[in-house]
Amino acid sequence: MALKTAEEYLQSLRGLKPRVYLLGEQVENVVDHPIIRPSINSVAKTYELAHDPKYRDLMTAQSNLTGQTINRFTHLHQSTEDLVKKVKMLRLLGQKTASCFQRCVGMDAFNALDSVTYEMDQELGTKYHERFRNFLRYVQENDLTVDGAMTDTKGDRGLRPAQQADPDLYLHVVERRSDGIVVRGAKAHQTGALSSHEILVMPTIAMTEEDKDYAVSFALPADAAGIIYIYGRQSCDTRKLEGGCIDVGNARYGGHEALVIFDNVFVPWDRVFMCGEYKYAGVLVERFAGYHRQSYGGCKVGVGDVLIGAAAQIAEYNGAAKASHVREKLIEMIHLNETLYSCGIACSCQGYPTASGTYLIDLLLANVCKQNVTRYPYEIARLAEDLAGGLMVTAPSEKDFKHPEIGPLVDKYLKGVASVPTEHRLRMLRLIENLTLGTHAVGYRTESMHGAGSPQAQRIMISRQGNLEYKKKLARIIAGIEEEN
Amino acid sequence: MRIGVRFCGGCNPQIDREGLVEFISRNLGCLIAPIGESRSYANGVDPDLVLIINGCTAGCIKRTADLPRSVVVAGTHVDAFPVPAEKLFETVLERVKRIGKVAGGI
Repeated sequence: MALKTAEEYLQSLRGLKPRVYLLGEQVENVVDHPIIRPSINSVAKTYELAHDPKYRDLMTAQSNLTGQTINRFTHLHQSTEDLVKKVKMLRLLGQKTASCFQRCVGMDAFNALDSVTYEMDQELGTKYHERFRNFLRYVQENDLTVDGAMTDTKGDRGLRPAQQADPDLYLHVVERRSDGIVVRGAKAHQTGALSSHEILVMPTIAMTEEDKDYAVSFALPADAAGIIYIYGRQSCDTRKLEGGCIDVGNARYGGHEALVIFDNVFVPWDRVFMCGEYKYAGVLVERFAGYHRQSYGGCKVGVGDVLIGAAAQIAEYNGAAKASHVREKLIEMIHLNETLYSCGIACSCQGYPTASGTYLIDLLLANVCKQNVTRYPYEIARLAEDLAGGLMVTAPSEKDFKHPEIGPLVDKYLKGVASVPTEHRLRMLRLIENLTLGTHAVGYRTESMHGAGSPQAQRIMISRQGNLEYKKKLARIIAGIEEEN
Repeated sequence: MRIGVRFCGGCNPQIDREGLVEFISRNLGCLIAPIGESRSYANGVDPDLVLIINGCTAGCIKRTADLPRSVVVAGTHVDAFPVPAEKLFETVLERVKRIGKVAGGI
């Protein structure tokens, strides 16, 4: 069966035994850990919706490799329509989870590696593309979630990988054997690492010849020997240990990142997709980043939809919805959010086929998309906080609200509009808190800033692709300095 | 060799489309003339090879089945493979020579 159900996904994760640490303790049961589980629920939603006729058109695709109906998260984009549907699917999931649902990093890695391994083979006579497609067939046939792992810990940013005082600060090949390679290093901020069946590693920057041991790409099962996961701390994360459902803001869904350490890990050759071809590291990074910058034009917009809805709802609960400045602020939030979506759609519509047949987005527009994402969610969050009022950070806890003696007092004095239960008002405030400075501020704010590359990375790409000389020529012609030919 | 050219609409080109055609024409010593919606020149003669010149990677003008010998340029991509911007003209020239040789034109 090419499409797993959500329950089958959860069961398949239970079959893995990764080595995981969280808050200083080793975690034996990842799936049921109260801090981790909401993020696994977000990924489970990608399985659940693929079976729902109301969402199937976005959530599934026909595989160009097997001909089967597969989850779109495992698909190679075969048209600009596929690229557009990807963005729409991500917006949908952002709306349904108000979280990072983690599965796009794998999808973006598949699509980047597909075209790059093809082009590498054409020039160098290597055999990576066939290996990669065999791996992807396995992923599609088993409907797997894959962590696309790119970002190294990087050490001294002023030095290249091979120049670092500690050679392991970028993941690298430490041994080449007849049956495979051994790698050592770490990947930082790995989204969805513990929700994934496999980890797909890529280099993090363009490489030179002296860095060729760092130009390495491969895939392994998430619980392969030698891989260690250290769970990333999130603001307000221990509220999930309190047992309530109000103060967490979003009790069902979440996202997570982890530091993933590769401690002399063996990779068999059939899972190696780049090993020393340093010239192709840069283009792989550029394409993966491009796809992922497109992704943010969908997922952040969907989460933004929930935040805008929460801001509008709390304005009603507060009795302020009719004030003209409130309506203006909501319009501004919608304008900003739809601008992000416009960029996601635009870079998809302007996509094109690569030599392998897999479609790539317009890289300039994808970078413009992500550059806007580094700004607009912050402004949307600021406006949401404005509309929420200070109570979103000063309200008593859920335990106080439910306390037999003081609970009725909290209920009485935190009432807004008379017809709205105080609990509804508190729930909405906690949701806004969650998205703007709680656990999901990781996804909605700082990930918007640094995920898929920090702002300067996009500005470098925009500068490279902006074609300023052409614009200057246009100006010279209009100003009468140069003849139009 | 008779080379025809078909340009995209040119809304926001990332490359010098006209300069590229002039470069090919100058280096091969042949006139490169536009073809219409059909594969032919205005005088009804078929070219040996068609250059499809798109200003950006969106590649609005595709290779069609009626153009068996063609080179498609889309921004800095030549027949779907990316090329460094500074090597674009030379790469297209080499590609035209190679396909033109198959066509018996060079």
